[in-house]
Amino acid sequence: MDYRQTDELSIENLCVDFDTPEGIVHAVRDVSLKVHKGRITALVGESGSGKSVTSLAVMSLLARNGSINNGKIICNGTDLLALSVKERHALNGRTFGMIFQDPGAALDPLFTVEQQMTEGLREHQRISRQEARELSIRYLKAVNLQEPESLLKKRPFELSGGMCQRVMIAMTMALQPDYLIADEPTTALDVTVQKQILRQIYQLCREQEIGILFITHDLGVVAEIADEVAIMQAGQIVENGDVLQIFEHPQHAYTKQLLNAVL
Amino acid sequence: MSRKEKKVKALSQGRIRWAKALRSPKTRIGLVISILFILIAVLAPLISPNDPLLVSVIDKLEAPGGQFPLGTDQLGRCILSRLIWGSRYSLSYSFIVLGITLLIGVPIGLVSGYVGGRADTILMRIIDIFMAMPSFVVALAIAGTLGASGRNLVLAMSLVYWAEYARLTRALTLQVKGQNYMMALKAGGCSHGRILLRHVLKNIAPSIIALATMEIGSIILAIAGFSFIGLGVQAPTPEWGIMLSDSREYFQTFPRLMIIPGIVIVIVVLAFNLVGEGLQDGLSTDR
Amino acid sequence: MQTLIQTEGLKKYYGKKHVVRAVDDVSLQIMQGRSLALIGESGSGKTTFARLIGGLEKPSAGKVRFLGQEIQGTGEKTFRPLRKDMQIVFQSSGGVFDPGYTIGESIVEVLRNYEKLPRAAYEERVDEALRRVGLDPELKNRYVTQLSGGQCQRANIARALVLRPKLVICDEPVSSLDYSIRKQILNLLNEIQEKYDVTYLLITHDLSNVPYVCKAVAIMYQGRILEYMEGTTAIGERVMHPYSKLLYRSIPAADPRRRRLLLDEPEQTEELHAVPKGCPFQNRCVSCTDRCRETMPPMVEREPGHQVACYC
Repeated sequence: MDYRQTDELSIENLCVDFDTPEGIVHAVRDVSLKVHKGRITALVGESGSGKSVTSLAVMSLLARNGSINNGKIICNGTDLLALSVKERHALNGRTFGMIFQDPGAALDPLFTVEQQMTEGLREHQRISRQEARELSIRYLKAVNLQEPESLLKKRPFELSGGMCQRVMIAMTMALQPDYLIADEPTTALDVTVQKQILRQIYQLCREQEIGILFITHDLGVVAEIADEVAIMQAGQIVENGDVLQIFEHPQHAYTKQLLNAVL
Repeated sequence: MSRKEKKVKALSQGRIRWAKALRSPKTRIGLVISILFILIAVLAPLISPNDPLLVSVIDKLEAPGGQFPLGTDQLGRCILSRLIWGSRYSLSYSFIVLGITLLIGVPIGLVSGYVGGRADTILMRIIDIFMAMPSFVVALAIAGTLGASGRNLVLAMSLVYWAEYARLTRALTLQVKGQNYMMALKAGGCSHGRILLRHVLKNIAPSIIALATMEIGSIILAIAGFSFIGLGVQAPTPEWGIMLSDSREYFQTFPRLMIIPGIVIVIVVLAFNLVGEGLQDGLSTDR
Repeated sequence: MQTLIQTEGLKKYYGKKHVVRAVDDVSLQIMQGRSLALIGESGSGKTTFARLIGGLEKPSAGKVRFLGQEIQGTGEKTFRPLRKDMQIVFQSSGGVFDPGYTIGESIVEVLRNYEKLPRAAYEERVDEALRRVGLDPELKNRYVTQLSGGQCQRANIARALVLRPKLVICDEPVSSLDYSIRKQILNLLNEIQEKYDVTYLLITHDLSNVPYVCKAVAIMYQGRILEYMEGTTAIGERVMHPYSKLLYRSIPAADPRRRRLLLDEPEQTEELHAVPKGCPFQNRCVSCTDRCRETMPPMVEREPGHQVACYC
């Protein structure tokens, strides 16, 4: 398939090192990856394989001892690594949205859902409080949350894990990012809730033409949702390709091993 | 083979942390100085050049040098000897206070935190009462009723300080109690006593030791302070606080009478604080 | 066949003003050799149930019998001898060992609580337990932080097995592990039960674990058992309760040609409040009737060894 360069997020030969007391750790080694608008790319790996570090590098959220030593991150045609830190952080929200594994921890327990949603919106857009509120309600409805008006008054700990995750998705989506990085968004959730969240993410991708980088270690979920798959092991991508190809004709031994381990 | 096995035997996290704590320059410097002072205290009769109590009016207020390396005080007593003997009082009293407070505070804190419920509430209220008492007032009260002496000062300070350790121990116990392995130990059939001593106490000991070491400094300071104002050890005992207090009137004319013991106190307190801080940095469980 | 565990109307309520019914009127039995899987999502009360049986919490009402002996509300003193026959494997693999002791010391400690043996015999038993779970006995000299997640969980199982118990309660034994080792651990658990006559109570939220280890399934929702079924082949096709069906439909298929999660029509989202009376699943159920809102359907045997609590 052909994509215009301006419609993709492309990571090329990315290397990320961490400077630790025990020496330098090469967390990500020569990773290349593409995320197209309106498609879902799954990045699969076990704990410690470097998949989350890759996503944090894109968002410029690496811990202080981490550094990008080589490679390019090109988003819609511009090289992100050539930008200043300030410019890159400005991209977060509008260009990149991110949802995390633990939705409860990603929301501040001290503030209501309304405060957190409208604050995020008004930081990026010049709109009134009332407009922000209406927008919030619209997006909460879009992620299938009932009674969004009363939900806005609640604080995160009053919501279930699935609801928190949906609020996170609504918050992220309200900013209309081009790309969404979802780091194990359903790992902490029950299967019945996982199903709903996956459907939400899938719909967003297709209807709003958002490119999604879906980080997970669950191949079952990958099979349900992904268009492209990259398998990561010990900081390197060992195999990538179309989801059907990966599941039906895995080439690399590690991919086969992972597929074998599916329960 | 078996000998080899023992050599390869892995180090526990605890041992690694101790090693790390003892390797830091902070701990090392502190330890060297503290051990030096403890040695001086132990060997006082052997190393002090003169009798610390011997009054000799002819020799009064002599400059350092000769028979009196640090000079003499207003009564002609050798300052160096008094300092050396003084370390005995300061150190032994503070170790006794620390020992008593640990012996009372740690078990109470352990039980309070581990048992929880009503026992915890009651013990905590008692602890609160003792924490609320200012040590100064207690020392004053005890000096007033039982008389001012070193022993009564130890009593007064122990009475106030144990509560602090009980509280700390309780907090640490609660932390360990929340760990997953506590439930596993219970499921494995370990008795409460065993869990408390072999697991809870072992895990919280490093933090308590670190804090206790730091506390020695402040106890030394407090003992000197109380003696200075006459609530503790009494003259003519060569105690550092007493030395300060005795030489007050000579501060303008012979400042060294005050400055020398002052410097010694500062050094000792700093040394113990250094050790405590070093231990705390090294042993702190950054899991 | 011996009955290992039998509960009758077991209840555990928390709180005074806002009562949370964590376990509500649960009657189950576990026969020797018929390992039971207790399935439930977060908040279903499955872990509380395991703790009630394991004597780590006291029930609010109801009875628990272990090997014929009533154990509810007994103190730790009378309960301790029973633990020899009932061990627990906890979820978190690393956190269940005291970091200050070696794996060997931790295992010996459990053994020493129950059996007085000469020193060499202790070592022998620890080596044996470690070998049984596929670990090199040399690892007994390591500390927990020096083991990988899979090794930790194996050591954890070894500790539970060292007393040769009859019942082992496994609380989410694989959910904290990477996918590639989950299968190994489940296969290991199965191997152990076949070789050493151990019966499991497997507490899990992951239905795909069940067929590896268990011979019966109970499905729990908001403190209640909604379905009990013996035999664990093709559970997905045999379940009858609407909730069980929903659960099974929600498992990802791991086959990109047969995607079903995204195609399935959306259903009611999870609810915030527990229902005041009637069937706990009423608000999410497609075939809910007025009767379901009034009274809790009783467990009815639909076919031999298969009970369902639903009016449907």
